[in-house]
Amino acid sequence: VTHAGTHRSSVPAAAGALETSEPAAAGSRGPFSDLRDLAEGALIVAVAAVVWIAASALPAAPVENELSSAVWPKTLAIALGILGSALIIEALRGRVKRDETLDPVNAGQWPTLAGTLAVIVTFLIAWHAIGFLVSAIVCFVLLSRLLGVGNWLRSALWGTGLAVLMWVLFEMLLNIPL
Amino acid sequence: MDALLDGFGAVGDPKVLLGVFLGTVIGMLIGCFPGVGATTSVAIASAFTITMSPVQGLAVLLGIYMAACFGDRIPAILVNTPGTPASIASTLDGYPMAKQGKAGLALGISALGSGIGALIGILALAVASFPLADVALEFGPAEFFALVVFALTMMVSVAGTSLPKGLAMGVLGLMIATIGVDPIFGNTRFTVGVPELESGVSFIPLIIGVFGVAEVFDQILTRTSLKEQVITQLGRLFPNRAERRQLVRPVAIASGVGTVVGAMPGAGGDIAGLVSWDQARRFSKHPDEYGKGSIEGLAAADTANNAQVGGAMATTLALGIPGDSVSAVLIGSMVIWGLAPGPALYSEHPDVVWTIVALLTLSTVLATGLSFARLKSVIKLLTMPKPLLWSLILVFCLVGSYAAQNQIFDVWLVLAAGVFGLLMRRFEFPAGPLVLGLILGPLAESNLRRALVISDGSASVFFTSPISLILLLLSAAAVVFPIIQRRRKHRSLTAEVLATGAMPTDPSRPRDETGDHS
Repeated sequence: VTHAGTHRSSVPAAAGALETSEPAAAGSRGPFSDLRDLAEGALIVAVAAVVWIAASALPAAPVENELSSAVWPKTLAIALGILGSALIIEALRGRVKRDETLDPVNAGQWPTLAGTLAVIVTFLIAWHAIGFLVSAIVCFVLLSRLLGVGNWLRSALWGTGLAVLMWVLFEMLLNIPL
Repeated sequence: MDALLDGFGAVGDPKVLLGVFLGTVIGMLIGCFPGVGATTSVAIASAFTITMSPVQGLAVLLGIYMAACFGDRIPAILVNTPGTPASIASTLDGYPMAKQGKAGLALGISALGSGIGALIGILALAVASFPLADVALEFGPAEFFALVVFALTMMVSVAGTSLPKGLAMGVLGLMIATIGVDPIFGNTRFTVGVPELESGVSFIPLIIGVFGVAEVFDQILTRTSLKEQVITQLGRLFPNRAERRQLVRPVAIASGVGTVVGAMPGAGGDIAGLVSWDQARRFSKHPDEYGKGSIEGLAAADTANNAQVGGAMATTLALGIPGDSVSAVLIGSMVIWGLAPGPALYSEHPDVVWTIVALLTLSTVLATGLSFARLKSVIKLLTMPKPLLWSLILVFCLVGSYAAQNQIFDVWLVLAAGVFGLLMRRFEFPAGPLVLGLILGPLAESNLRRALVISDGSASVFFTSPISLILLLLSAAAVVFPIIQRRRKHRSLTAEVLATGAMPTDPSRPRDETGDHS
């Protein structure tokens, strides 16, 4: 299937608008077929438990007849726990729906994503340490090169341009010090 | 009458006019790029518009919102890839038309339908939202809590492939909204000693991360060497007299359906487009042509896509309940400006409502004009290399989020939310309910607690009020009905597979170039 003919994953609500894989709905995935669904359900239940425990440590209501700060979070924790359990049950029955409009991951792109994250983290640390402009120029050039904007010269021009654009926009036009 | 004149008069300010123009142009361009949806762009723009006056800021944000609904149909028609989820239905007939050498006509009909639909939706906003706000003024805490529950269930019932996942995301959004100071007693909750969290999780950085950064990360991860095939031969733009006559019925149907669907909390342009396309087909004299390049089908989809904006804004402004993800982000900005949507807005600032009506109208007229002018330049943008776009979006997301409160913490939050958003996408957890939960969380909690205080802790208060009871019953139906529907469908599909041995296909899904369902 060509890219031109597919729905991109860039349309999150498409998942809701379009029905999922009919073969999956017809039951081609058997019970216990996907540990991932079980893990997702278990994680949701775990989050619910953590919220319940954290909410239990909150102080009681200082006024009589008032609900304490913990009541609402605990109510949500119960709801989340039920939903996590429902997901586990769906997983055990092999009934979790799949969104087949999602584009598949290109395994060769993991290093690019990891590099992008590393450059952004470096940028945020450098921004705090040495200021915006220098750290932005260096990191945006690196980011441009990493993402495939072009050769080093093109990446340098694009990255520097972006850094200067941001600086002018914030410092000079919006009066927000970076 | 004074409010109407004041509201429309505020749009005459040159800075506001410039804001609408900029917002409309940005919205058109952003709508053209698949993946950079209206929610992402309005969220990023929110960071920049916070320092502006409310009317100037609204001019930019509403301009982007409306114009993105015009721009998103261009890639849907020329590349068979929706610019935003709202233009999914445009691919059904738009792309087949383009392949038949009628790309220009498809774009022309789409622009006309979009313009007419948008104006009818705005008219509905102007006419219906004031009485709706009057009704909502009678709501007490119990009714408002029931309304929030209704909004959440409506959204999650359409927001994902898995109901538990959609609901879980809504609840998670409500949970995140509890971080910070308790709205009644003032003690802090779940801040884990981080002072920046005492005022709650900043909404704008979180949204920018979950939608904008996550989108770029996802596109990086799914990048292939295949290039998009853009149809560049346009042909004529305007429909002839016979075609115009043929379009009257689908445009009329879609305007009504789009506005009503838009007014339902959580049901956005994607649902409006698909429902209208289906309804127009039912009432058409040529139903067989739908899905094969029907001008009626295309007009119905795009008219509804834009008509829903007025409906969504009516719900958002009159009730304070977001009609879709974009209006959820708009609510975030309006709250910061001290213009929280809801019935109180209509009694305290009715001029602002009229200003919004005027801004949306102006943006619609501008976007319709832009849809016909410089079309070839816009098409060239579709071939813009993705890396340029990715780096541009990432930089705007990171630096833009800093602008909201001038703190690096928010930029870290964007990055964390971006990684979280990527995981959500890959594991098929919808982001829409999370945003809705985040926006509705404080409203839900404060009204629940107030209602229970008034009733001395008795939950019967939610069932003795007729409005509250009806809303809660509708909420239950919104959750239960899809489950029953899916079970029925599952049974019938299983029976069909067993009987025929063949996998059935879904006619509502777009086809790839070979004609197979993608």
